[in-house]
Amino acid sequence: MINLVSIELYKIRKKPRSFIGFGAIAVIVLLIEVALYIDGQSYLQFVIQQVEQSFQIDGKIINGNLVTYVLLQTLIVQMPLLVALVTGDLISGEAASGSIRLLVTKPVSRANIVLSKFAAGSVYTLLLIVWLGILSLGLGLLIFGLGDLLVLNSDHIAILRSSETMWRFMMAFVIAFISLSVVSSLSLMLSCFTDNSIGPIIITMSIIILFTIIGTMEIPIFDVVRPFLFTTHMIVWRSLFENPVPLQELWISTGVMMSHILVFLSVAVFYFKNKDILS
Amino acid sequence: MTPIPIIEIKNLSKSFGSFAAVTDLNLEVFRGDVFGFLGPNGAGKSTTIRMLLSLIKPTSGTIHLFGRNLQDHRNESVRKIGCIIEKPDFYLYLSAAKNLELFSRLSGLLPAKSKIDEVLELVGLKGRAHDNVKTFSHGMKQRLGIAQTLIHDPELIILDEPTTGLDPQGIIDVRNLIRHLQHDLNKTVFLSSHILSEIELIATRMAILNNGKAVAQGNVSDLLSTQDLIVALEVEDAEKAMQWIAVTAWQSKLHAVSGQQFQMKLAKKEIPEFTDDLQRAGIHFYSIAYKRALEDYFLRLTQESSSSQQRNKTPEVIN
Repeated sequence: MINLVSIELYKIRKKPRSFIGFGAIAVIVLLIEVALYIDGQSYLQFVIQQVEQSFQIDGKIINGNLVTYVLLQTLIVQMPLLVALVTGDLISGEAASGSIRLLVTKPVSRANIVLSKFAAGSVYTLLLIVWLGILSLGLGLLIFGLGDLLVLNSDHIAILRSSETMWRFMMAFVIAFISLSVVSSLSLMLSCFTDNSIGPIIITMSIIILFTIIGTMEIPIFDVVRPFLFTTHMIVWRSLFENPVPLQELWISTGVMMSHILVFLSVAVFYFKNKDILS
Repeated sequence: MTPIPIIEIKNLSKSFGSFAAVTDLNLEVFRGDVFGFLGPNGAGKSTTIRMLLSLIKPTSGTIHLFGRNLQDHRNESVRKIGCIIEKPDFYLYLSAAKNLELFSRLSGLLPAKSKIDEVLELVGLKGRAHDNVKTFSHGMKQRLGIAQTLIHDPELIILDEPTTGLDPQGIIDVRNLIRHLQHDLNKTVFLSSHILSEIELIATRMAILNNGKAVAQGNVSDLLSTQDLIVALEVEDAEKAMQWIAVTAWQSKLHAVSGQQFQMKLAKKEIPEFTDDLQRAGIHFYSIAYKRALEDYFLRLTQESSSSQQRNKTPEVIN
């Protein structure tokens, strides 16, 4: 299995598309950090204009913690696409190119092929998260310095002491990793169904968009399905920046996402094991 | 002692919906064979090979490789196989050497650099070892495909149309390589092709497949020796030869006459008798040569089986 995972990682490393994610994150993070550095006060005034009448906010509001929080909010939309771009191609890409034929004739089980690809996809996802962490938190703290984190939610405002932010960000990155692993397992499962490498990427994003719409529209009929949609739980990292942290909600969301990963992987393994390779 | 077959296929069938791609196929390949698997396009050759390599599941029937049931001992069996299926597709963004290394590792072996160099040299690609496969021509990929089949030193080599896309020199090289694998390295080669001459030149045993059924199977020489050959001879005195043939039993075997050239349709075993009779009759000849009527044989078999529609007919077996 370790041999298989290392081979898969090598293949991911050698594919040019694997670097698109790192490049995109770097560009977005640097763009936002430079923009906030130059014109952060205008942005902040726009954001806090509603609460300014009730509160007086003093101190260094634009700091590394706030910049990281803003970046996390922004990139949560793009990250699934960047992950699916690689993981959605892991099996269908090989089917499209024909290399799947040689791969499947080797003395390794098909279940191990799927699981090793998921493991390699997870390592890739983890590296993307670490890259995001280094650029947003590391560079943010370096450029903007440390300070208390002002969190504006729709119904309340929270100020977190700078000493309390680091573990929350670390946990947020862990939750983001689990969220993106759901995307990774979904796109890998879809990748088993087709010999077209673009299809699984587009379908993954379509599902995320559809589920997000269902999850955010306040129509009663959607209330029944909303708790079961993985997209509902992908944004649970935000609750880490509440005081106190709603641990039960966190555990439930983590459980739902892990269940999704398990279901998607099981379907992928079952389907791929029984699939006739005709490409 | 009866040799143990390396490949033993029993009552193998595969259907895709209502379409029967392979029907009740029985086949045996023995150690050291170069087994020709011959058939027109769509005969079911690739489907059979895909079942042999567990790429697709049979609808019914069994496959034994190296004496073991493929379904129960899949990994142990395929570890001893090197294969090209239809066309060799590699990771285009990796070099030839890296592709070989990865596929060898998937077979459970970390190949030494010298082994990679050795197989690349064998197929004439040593100078391109570190070039990305995306820069390779189809013929070069085909050669790399053969290198890939050999990198983990398998016992059985399955080649599906290995000369497709190769230039004439490439075809000769592959043919020589297959002979080398059999004679010098004692490998068993299962060679699928629709090119009759290719099978005739290098195969020791063969099966002819049509509409998913084996219509003939056995030693190549035996199968072909039962068929008439076109024997061409150039005689010194055509008129005398003509008169002689007209009064002998050979008259019925006369195929064509053109100047001093005669063409007779003879079984292989009849040739010595015919030439003896010629000499006894005092008819001198400058040359004699025969060509096999394999193409006729192949077409006859495949057309017969197509027209008969008797898909459960017992195949002709000569051992």
